[in-house]
Amino acid sequence: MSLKEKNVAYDLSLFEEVTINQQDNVLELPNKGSKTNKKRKTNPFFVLAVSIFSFICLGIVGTVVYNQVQLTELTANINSVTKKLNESEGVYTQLQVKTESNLSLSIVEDYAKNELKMSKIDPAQIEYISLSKGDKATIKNDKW
Amino acid sequence: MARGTTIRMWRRSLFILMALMFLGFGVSIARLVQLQIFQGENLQQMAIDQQLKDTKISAQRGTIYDCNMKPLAQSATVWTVVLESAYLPDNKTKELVATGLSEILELDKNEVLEKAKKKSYYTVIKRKIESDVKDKIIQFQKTNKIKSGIRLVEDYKRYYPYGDFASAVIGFTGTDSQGLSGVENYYNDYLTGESGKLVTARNAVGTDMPFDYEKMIPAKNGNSLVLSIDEVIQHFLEKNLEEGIANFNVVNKAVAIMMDVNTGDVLGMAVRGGYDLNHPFDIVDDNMKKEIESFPEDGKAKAKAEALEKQWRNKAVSDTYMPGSVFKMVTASMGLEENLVTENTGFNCSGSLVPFKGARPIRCHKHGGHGAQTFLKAFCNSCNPAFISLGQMVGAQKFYQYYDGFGFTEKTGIDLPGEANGIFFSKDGSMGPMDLAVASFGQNFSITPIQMAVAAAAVANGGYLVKPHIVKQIIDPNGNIIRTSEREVRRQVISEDTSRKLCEFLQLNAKEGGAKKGYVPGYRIGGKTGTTQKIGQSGPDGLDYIASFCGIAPADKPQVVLLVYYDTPKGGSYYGGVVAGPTFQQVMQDVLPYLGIERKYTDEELVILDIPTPFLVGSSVSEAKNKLERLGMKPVVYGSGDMVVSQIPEAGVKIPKGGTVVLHTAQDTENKTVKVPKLIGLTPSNANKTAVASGVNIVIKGAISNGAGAVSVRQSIAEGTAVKQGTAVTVEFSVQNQPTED
Repeated sequence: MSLKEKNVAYDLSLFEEVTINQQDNVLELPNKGSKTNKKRKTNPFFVLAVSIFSFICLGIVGTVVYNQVQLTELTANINSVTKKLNESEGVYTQLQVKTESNLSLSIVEDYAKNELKMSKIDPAQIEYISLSKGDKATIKNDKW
Repeated sequence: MARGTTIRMWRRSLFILMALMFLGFGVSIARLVQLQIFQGENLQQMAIDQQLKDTKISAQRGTIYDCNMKPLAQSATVWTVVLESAYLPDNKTKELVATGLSEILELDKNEVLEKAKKKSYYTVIKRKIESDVKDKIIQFQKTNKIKSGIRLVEDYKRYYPYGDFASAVIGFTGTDSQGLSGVENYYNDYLTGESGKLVTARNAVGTDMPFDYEKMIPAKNGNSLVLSIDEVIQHFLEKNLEEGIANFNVVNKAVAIMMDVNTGDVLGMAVRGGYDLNHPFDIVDDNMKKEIESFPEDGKAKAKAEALEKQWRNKAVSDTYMPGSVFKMVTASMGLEENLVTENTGFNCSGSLVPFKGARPIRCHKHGGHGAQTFLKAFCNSCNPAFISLGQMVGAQKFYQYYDGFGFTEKTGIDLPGEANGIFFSKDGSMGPMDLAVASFGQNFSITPIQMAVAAAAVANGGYLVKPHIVKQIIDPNGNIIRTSEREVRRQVISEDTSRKLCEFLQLNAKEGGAKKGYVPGYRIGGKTGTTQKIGQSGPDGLDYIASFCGIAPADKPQVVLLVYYDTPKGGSYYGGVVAGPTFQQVMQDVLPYLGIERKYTDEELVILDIPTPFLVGSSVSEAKNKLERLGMKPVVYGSGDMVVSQIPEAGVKIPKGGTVVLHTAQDTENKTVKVPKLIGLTPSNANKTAVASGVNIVIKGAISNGAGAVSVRQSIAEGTAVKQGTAVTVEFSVQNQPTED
């Protein structure tokens, strides 16, 4: 309603007939070529970048896991070898002790005398040699 | 719908939600605060205890070496067999395990089965098994597919490669590798390392998760000891002591100590009647074993414990004895140092001396008396009256001062456990006149053998009382030296001049006096014998004695002192010169060349020196004859051949100059025999003449320094025995005027 026709005392618009626009119950199907339903255009560089990045991440994770596995295996190997080393050292000491006990001076002397019929070295067989002590000089240093 | 209602509803819902959230989370937060802050520490500890497994890593005990780095004691890894019977699934497996283990470990099967049937996670079956047994157990587990139930826990075992060698010095360790005697005990703190720890995570079942968490604190192995003991010298001491024990039926052990007089290094300390360090709890003495068996059951344990204590005791440092005449070298030093006597001061011996009015006479060992003699002669005669007079000249106060100065009132400080101190007449050193009289010749007070050796070293080295030590160095597991024992002089007791004079006295005593049996041709030996009555300690048979000999070498510049001491010889003689002298001589003959000390024969010694027979088989007869004649030997040739096919005596056998060497040039002449003549009761030259005339040779043994007074007492082949011509017969000589009581 226009302002000219307005009556300030009464709102005459309330008395006017209201025409209802009937809408058609016809739904418009979206156009096939509609912009809103169009597929987005994929950026190949983006895809490549994402792929490369994924591979790199996978590679890093894989490497880390592999390293950990290697470390774990090496640690286990080291422990096993250390254990073997300790055992071998123990066996070595035991065998050494057994050998030494069979080579004690009393056993050796007994064997030499009784089995090999050896006798002690005679003093006449020993010749003492005097070695010259060589030239030497004494340096006196008062500072010391 | 009105907007106001919706908002209100939202707000209400929100409020309720907030309230519920606050309530719910608040309780959680409160609980968190309680757990984290108030109970946090306790719970953390509980979690650690539950989630972590703490395994002790044993440290290896240090090694004990001799001075040449030869191991005398070392540890090696062994295993303890532990049965975790709770993991054995059924009775069949338990039976199998019990059978297998009992067979491998040589145990009673029923005992093992009983342990297997218990529900336990840790039962020790056997300790300290070696690697071969451990391998058998592992094989048994593999063969029978036993994955759990038997566990092998690492441990260490102490090995002593030479058994009873130096047993009193080295000592042994107990089940927990703690030192129980000897150097093992004294230096236990150095030898024991520090245990490490292995902390690993474990799951709820108790299995290790080492890949989850593992932290290791490595064990710190113990330090090693390098002793001053020389294995070779120790061997010589022990070998010759054993011979002396056998020859003279010594019933209460024997001791020999050899020490460097200048540094205090103990080069050898032998206590025979020793024990195997690998089996220290086995009684060695058969008589002791029988005695223990004779005890009733309830007394056996105590008897065995006492017997073991006696067996382990180091007689050289823990037992005291009366030194007897060996102490005269100390009394003589007092007199010379105080200028109370010189070597020519006159003394008279009538066979006994009354020390003061009203006292009973004290007899000399020579009942007829030595007559008039110089002090030097009195020393060589070991004359008691002369020394009583000397003691009176010194006086009780001065005597005690020197007694104290020579270290007899205090322990030597040697690094061995259980060192005893001597026992004097009184604590304050006061002596009555009779005490002084008998103390002058070494009676009625007691000292330890190590104290006597240290005092003798002081007499020989210029008067310096040095501290003896067994350990020369302590080294860490990497071989770095962390401690060295240096020469430690406690004080100077006598002057160098007095020391030099005493060395001359001792040298003369060994050449012409009572210590002739200890004489070694070619070396300047000094020595003093001692025969001490064990007053108050004698056995049921009557009086028992201690025979000792203490000497130095070389006497002109002493390097070593040797004390030999036999407790209770029961075989024929008990005199120091007779029993201990030959041992001293033999040890010095072995040790001095080993130490590189050159033999220097005097002209008199060269005359009576035995010569080794040269090797002549294969030589021509003329060559052999020339060789023998050049050496002063007499060749006798049998057969008509040109070449020597055999000789008697064999090459290397020593015979005196002028001895006969028989050369056979044909096989059929080798059967010619002669009869051994009587060689007992003759002087060396007469014995040699008699032997040569009969066609045999003699090898001289015993006191023969200059032949004076020596008479043959024993021959190795009996008179009348038919032997091949030229056979060497060993003849033992003894000095006729040997002091019988000193």
